[in-house]
Amino acid sequence: MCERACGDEPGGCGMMMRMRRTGSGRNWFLRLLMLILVSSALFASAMSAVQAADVGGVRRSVLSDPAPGDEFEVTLTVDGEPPLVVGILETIPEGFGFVSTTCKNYEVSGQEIAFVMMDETVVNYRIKAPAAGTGTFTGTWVDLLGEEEGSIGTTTVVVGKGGTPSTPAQPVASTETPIAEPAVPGFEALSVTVSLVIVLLLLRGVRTTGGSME
Amino acid sequence: MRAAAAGRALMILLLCMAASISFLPGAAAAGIPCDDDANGLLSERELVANVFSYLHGERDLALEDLRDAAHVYVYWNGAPRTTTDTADRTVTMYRPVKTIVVLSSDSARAIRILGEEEKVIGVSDTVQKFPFYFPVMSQRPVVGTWKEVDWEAIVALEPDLVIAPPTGTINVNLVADKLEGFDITVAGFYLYVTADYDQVFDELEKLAFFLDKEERAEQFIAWHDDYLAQVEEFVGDKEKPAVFLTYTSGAIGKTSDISSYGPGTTLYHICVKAGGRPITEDATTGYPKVNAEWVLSENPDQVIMICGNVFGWWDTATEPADLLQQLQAGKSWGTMNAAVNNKIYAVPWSVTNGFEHTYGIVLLAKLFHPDLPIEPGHVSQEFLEEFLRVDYPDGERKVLAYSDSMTLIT
Repeated sequence: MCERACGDEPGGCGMMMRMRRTGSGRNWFLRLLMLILVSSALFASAMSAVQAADVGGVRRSVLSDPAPGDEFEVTLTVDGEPPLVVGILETIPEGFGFVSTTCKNYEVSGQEIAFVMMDETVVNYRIKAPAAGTGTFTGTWVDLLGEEEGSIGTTTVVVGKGGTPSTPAQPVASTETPIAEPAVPGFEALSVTVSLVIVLLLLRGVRTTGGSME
Repeated sequence: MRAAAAGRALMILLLCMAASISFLPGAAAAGIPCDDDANGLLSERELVANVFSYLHGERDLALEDLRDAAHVYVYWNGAPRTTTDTADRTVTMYRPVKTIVVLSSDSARAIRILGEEEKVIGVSDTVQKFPFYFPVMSQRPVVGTWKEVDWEAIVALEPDLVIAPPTGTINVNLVADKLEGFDITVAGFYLYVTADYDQVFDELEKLAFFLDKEERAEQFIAWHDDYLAQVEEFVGDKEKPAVFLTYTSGAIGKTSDISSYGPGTTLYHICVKAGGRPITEDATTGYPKVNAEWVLSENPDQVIMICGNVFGWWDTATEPADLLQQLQAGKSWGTMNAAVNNKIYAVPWSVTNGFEHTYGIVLLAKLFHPDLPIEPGHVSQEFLEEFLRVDYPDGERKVLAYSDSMTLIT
């Protein structure tokens, strides 16, 4: 992959040629290392962007843990573009009560709320919290114009705790098209940053080395 | 009394069995899935109610049914797709087509143009013989030939749609009759040029309508129309050469009973659109038999013989040269204009193939009017690469047409 990245970049291989003419083996090695690191970082970033475009899934978000007896909002976001027909089955924790939703097509049955999202990508629903306790939201989704379906990551809220929910919602990939999600959210950005820092450090090292040789 | 009671019990048992079968999830029934009031239209309310039932696990609903219903609601406005096929039969699709059997290479070519070859699960033997043209479909099971079909094989494949020719030994009415009761939709389309030149495009549009591929059909038709307009504009006011059209058959080499083409046939249409005047214009049949003396008396300026078991072109001039020799043997055509001017051509059969005839028109126009500023090989390449989506073999010498004095290559 790195070889291809080098060939694809107009300056890449030319830069290697110039380095060979200098005759400095260490300089050449360090610059090659830098090139590989930068290419790897850019390549990793580009790959995640392509994958993200293909992802179909549903995310749940809750802004903050509710106060006792308060109403709070849950947002479901579909990663997709209209036309869409997506069925979602949300299960809210015992003790929590459904209040309302922005979704035109919904049905409540006990602690289950079924939504049919037609050309909508975001649905909000309001929940009334109990006097105390902890609850976990779960859900599943099915894409009816595509071939995918999956689970919505669990979200745990603690009544009266305040702040962000204890377990933030994580998108869960389709069961049919697994998605290579980063183990830690924001890993790509972190890896790019680390790569750039290493490159900067190496650049400093190269300048220092070059000066001492002269 | 006991017999009557036993009879009633048997009747009740049969009714119960019939009722239970109709509610089995796999039991396919004509009609749009989830159309609960069976009024032939799927409403949003019906679709949503069925999705709720599925999500809550309240009914034994198949996800495939729900997805079909969603497709019909969103893309078909909740109504079935109905059209009239070329055999004047009303054909209705209640669900999106997922599996297809094609009983001719012409329909296979249409499916390829529409980009739906992955849906084909059974083919005629001709399709299997040409993996270059049909890299995907040629790998599918063969269910028959132009004259014989393995009906049980088709039923076993459980296709949603079978495309059959409207007439002929294996025609759409026969196919529909044989497959009756198996919930298989059968449509009759030729998908090659017939007496009504524009019919082939109408058929392509209807097939595209069934397959939700209208845009692909429009692209192809626009491509054809553009080349046809260029040819017609170029040949419009030019003198039309008299052309004798023939093809290889068991009669080749004899002085009588030479097969030709009359009005309404594919090659006749191609010849006329390419700026030629067939000498068989007064023929009363599509495939008149003529003799060598009559051809000589008509003194055609050119002879076009389509021949060879090839799609597209010959790799060398050996076969067309041999076929031309057979055609002229013992016929005393030496004084005929076409012979004097070395304009007796062998042309591959593919010029009459379904939708490839666009290239055929350009090729014949180039033979009739060499100043035509269109390169036939370029048109062939566009057709193969853009519509059949197969690689045009670059750098190889391809014989597009052959005469004793000229080999049209690309």
